[in-house]
Amino acid sequence: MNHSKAIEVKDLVKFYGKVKALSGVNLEVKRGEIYGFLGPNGAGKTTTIRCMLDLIRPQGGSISILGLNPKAEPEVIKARVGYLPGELHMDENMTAKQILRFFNHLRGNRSDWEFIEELSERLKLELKIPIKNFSKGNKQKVGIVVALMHRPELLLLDEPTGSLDPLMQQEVLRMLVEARDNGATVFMSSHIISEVQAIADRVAIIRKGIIIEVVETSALLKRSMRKVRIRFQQPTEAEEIYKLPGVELIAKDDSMGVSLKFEGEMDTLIKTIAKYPVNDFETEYASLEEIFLAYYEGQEDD
Amino acid sequence: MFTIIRNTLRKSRGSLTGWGIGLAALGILMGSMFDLIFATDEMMDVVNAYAVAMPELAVMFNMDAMGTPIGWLDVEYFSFVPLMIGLFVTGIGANMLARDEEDGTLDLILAHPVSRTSLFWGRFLANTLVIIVLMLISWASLLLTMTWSENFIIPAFDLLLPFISLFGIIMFFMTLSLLFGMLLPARSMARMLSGMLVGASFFITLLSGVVEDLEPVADFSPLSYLETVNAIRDGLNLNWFGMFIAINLVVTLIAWQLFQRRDIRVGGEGSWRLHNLKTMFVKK
Repeated sequence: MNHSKAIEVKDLVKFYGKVKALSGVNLEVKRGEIYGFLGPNGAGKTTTIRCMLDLIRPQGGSISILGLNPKAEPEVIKARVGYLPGELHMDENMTAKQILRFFNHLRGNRSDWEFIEELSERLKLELKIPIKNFSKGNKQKVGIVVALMHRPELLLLDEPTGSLDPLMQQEVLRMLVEARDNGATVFMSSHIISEVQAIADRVAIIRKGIIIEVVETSALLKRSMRKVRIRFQQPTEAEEIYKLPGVELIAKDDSMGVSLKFEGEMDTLIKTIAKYPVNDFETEYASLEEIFLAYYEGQEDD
Repeated sequence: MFTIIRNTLRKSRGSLTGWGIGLAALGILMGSMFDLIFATDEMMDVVNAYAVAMPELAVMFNMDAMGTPIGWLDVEYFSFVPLMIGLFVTGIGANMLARDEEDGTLDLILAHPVSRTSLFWGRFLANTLVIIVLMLISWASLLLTMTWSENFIIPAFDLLLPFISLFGIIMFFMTLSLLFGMLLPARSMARMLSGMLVGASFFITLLSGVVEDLEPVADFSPLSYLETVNAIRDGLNLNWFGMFIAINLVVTLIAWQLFQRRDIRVGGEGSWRLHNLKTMFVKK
């Protein structure tokens, strides 16, 4: 195994009873990069991460985390890793401060309390309130501080911005970029494509326990499918738009409105639409499921 | 491991306080009542009348010895306290690790640099300490009664012996419940099964004194080995106590091995698959 890699996973296989959750996952994450791990629900993202931390044991394959084997040296690895579970649960009777102190004790008091307070302030986290009185978003903030507070070399984050409001999502993503800039490696799973695109250097896409693709984020951006809705000011036959590469006409609502699927660089599309008088223009990323559906339809056609 | 022990003790504060107060009050009540019984001939006459009218009942509850302090405790205290504490410790055993797993908090704890061994033994030691403290509270509350009682007098060390005997037995129920927690899909099932065993042991032991057919079965009932009057009269049977300690150790080691090899669930209850048994001695 190559020690310049933060994570190296080879042919990872995991069964839950007779159900095959991972069917030979292969991953290589370089030190100092932000690596997005995308996949729909049930694709195997959480299972992969939990195998990395020796919380569950795979039936096949090998894992190297920071050059170490998680099964042979789990505590050494965990001392250098920050983890945020996808399903975060903490002792509800403790306050956020008690939780942070407890986990800091488990790490041998390695964390700098000023840094913990700084992280908490940035996330607007009230430390004196018992966890049971927290909203889901506030619990998530505690989890993020727990993961970051000891300035780990590697961050394993399972859907880190789920339950957070958009402003806090941006703050967390900034924190992850700062951690990367300070030398940490960030491995984050998500099923939200835009979140990963915002900060990741590379992205692996997993579906049904198999990595189907590893791409540079810039390439993913170019290829990302979007849904576009246009409302013209007057009845318009905009054939020029529908003939653009990457455009697929889904529906014409009436003579003034159209819905499209678009894959490619937005610049060309926007400039073409601008030739017409437009009343409204909406665009959104397609969900991962829609992307996978399109991807597999293409494969099956082949 | 120290952090785990401290955290576990912190979480046990409520039950320790509640049970501690309850057991202390019971001890003081039982100790104080002896003076009342001893000083009233009519009460002893009633007891003796019971023995004549219902000899089986007298044998079952060892009524002949009620006129002595330890005999009184045997009948009125050690006859049901083991059942009470036994049921309590089954909760401790089942909850020790399975509760955190079902609540989903184990995931984050084990993602920190604490080994499964440290977590297991840290929790085990802390919970054993809770049980020892409850035993000492019970013992001390009876000792306290002796400071004002004229007739309820038992040497402190002698009084400790039944509690030592009881400790070995209830630790068996605790470790058994812990093992069930590792084997069964839900801690409620582990608690229920071990609770049923405590109840069965209690009734088999109680009834075996009058139902001869139950005597062979009582040999397998842990509470049959509880020594109260005998421990004070003849000294603690160290063979029995050692047997319980050895069994407890083996059961705990099996539970530890199962925990070592366990796939930690994200949360919730598990399934009925007993694959842990299959893989217990097979290195993954």
